Amino acid sequence: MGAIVLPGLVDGVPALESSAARAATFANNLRAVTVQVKDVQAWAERNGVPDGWQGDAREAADHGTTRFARRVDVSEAALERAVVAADRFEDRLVRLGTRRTALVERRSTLNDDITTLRAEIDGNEAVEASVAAWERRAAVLRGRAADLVDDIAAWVADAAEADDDFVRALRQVDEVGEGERAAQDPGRPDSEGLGAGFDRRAGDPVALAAWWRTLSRAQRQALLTERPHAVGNANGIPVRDRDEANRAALYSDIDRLTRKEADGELTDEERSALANAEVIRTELNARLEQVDPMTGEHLVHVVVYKPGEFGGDGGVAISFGDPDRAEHVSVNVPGLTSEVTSLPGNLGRTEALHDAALGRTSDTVATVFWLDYDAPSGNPLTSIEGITDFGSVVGPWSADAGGERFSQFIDGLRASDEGAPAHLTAIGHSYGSTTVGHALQDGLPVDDAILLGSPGVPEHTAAALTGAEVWVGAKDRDPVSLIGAEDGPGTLGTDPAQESFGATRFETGDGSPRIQDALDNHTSYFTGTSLDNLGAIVVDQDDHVVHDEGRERWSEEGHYPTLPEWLVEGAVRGAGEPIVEGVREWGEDVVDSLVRGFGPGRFVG
Amino acid sequence: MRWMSAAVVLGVALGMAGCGGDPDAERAEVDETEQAALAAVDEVVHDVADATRLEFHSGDHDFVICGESYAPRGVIHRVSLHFGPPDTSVERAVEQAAEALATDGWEVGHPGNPAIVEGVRGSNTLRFHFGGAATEVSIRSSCVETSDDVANEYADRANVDIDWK
Repeated sequence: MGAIVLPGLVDGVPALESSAARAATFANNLRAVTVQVKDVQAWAERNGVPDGWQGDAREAADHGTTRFARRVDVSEAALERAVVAADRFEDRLVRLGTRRTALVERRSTLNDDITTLRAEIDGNEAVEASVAAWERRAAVLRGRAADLVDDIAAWVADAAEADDDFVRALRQVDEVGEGERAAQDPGRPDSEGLGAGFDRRAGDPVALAAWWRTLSRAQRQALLTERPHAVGNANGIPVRDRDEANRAALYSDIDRLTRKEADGELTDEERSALANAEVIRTELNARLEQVDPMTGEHLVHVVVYKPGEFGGDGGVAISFGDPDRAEHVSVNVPGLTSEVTSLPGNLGRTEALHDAALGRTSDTVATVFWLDYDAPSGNPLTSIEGITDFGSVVGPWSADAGGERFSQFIDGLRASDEGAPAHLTAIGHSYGSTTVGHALQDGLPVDDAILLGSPGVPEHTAAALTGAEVWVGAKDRDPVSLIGAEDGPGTLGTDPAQESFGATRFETGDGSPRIQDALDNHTSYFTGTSLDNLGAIVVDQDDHVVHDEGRERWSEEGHYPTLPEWLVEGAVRGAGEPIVEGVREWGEDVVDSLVRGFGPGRFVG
Repeated sequence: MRWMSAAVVLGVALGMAGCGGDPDAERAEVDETEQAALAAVDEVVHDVADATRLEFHSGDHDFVICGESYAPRGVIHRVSLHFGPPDTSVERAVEQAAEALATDGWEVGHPGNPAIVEGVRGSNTLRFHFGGAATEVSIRSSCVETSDDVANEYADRANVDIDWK
């Protein structure tokens, strides 16, 4: 009876020396520099000869700026090549990471199998039949080990080749002569022609997405650095490309505006834009190392970047995960007082939702925070402007306009989606739910809609609003959610938590009865049971959602306090008897007048 | 008239939100939550990193408000740690992390994603998310309720890097 030859345990798979996220950061920095160089070139071409110059002076100036522009173009061409190389390197690292994952899993399984067989052999008496079986299994394991070792070696070689190729690509453009050749290369992307093609399709996400897919990597990168603001905000462009364009725009904006600030040339509008850009940069920098563990790519993507929009409030959309590749995508729309400067709290809640959803499934998940509408944003306690802006919260006008913009954004996500269409959920909180409601009314192409702390939506029933499944989170002691309820002023539409509305209401807790906690009740939907339910809906685990009864004034299960009742109860619980009568009289007077003016549950059509 | 609806709902609440509380006691509670999380980094996170041979890349911690800018409600403390991939299968890494968490007195949970394991102790939730390309570790507190001033004071602090020893 011969010896049984077991293979040795296979050594670990080495980690990649470069990471996809760091390659992406390098590429982002290169893009920002490229954008600035292109700005300089455009400036030189625009301002070549000062007005009024004639004769020799004109000729000399023209000659000088032409030479300058040509030299700048050489740098630009070299940077374009470097950006393409960095972009390609990032993709290769992602693929290498995926292959590594498979190799690590194979190694783990194989080593377990070898260890198991060794223990079996050591712990049992060798009889002829079992030895033959052990030898057959050992032979299979030897084959598997040899294959795995070969595959690991091939992977190591490919990783080294990726590094070498990247270094070689950079070295090909690190001298002036090489830059000159790159600039004169007939295959260099035609930025002007590409820009015209982009302009023809902008506003049509499906056409833009289809056209974008036909472009080469070099063409995409050229257009992206030529028109970063336009490409980054164009619905239909893939989210990863939007992110690259928006980061380039962000960093070059900050650099340009900071220089203007130092020179004392910053306008008020630019000051707001700079402040907004800095808030976004701070949030991105805080998450620079955050990656998708499966791919090693950056987790966070900037999908909209408009720092100067909406009278200085700014517009922004940021995603955790890649919506184009995710199987489940959610987009949440905030409400009153939302502007770019309130990004930290909003992103924290979006991140919490992403964690809650991702924790439930091995499917891929992307969670987007979207603020690209003029949300009522002023603080009415601090300024006249705040009162003016805040006043729009009582009317549906901002929600109507915002709903249209939101629809365009969702159309863009649908157009750039890869593979099977994602399960898509729209979430609106507070006034954002009214905004989502207006988008739903116009046929928003989502699978689920979640309305949180809603002051009202523009239809009487879920079925009239949308074909999507409608979910409602409403704490009975969230006064904003009572605006559209029976006996509420209803200036923004119907309370979707009403039983008669026909949506599915989920458990959120009722909230604290104290009047001091009124806004806390309104702002705590992204925690606890409510957050668990949101996560389940986002990943389409409807069976895991804990339901609540719809509001029904005259049934025991659905009973809820009306706004006047809530005011009285809250005052009693929060402040004690002495002020109860005053609050009761004041609250009832005000609400009575509102009800007379608008009617219970009335919506603005 | 429409102004009145905003006044009913928000004027009262805005005027009365964020009242009360002893700021020093609130700060002490926030600090305690932060210290508990940082102690976990030094203890169980190190244990798991050693067991699964994780290479530390970077980490930081900060505070974020619980609610909206107009009603912060309190703060959440967050720790974020970034590592290379485990030197074993994701399934094995999850098992090893779960074992280390249980040994250290954490209530272990498997929320449904086979690459994720969580532990809960006190107000902190510690999560390991393993993958073939990287490992993400987070510790997130529940909302520590404070006055608005104290919440903003903590939320305005800059991120602090984790000192990984």
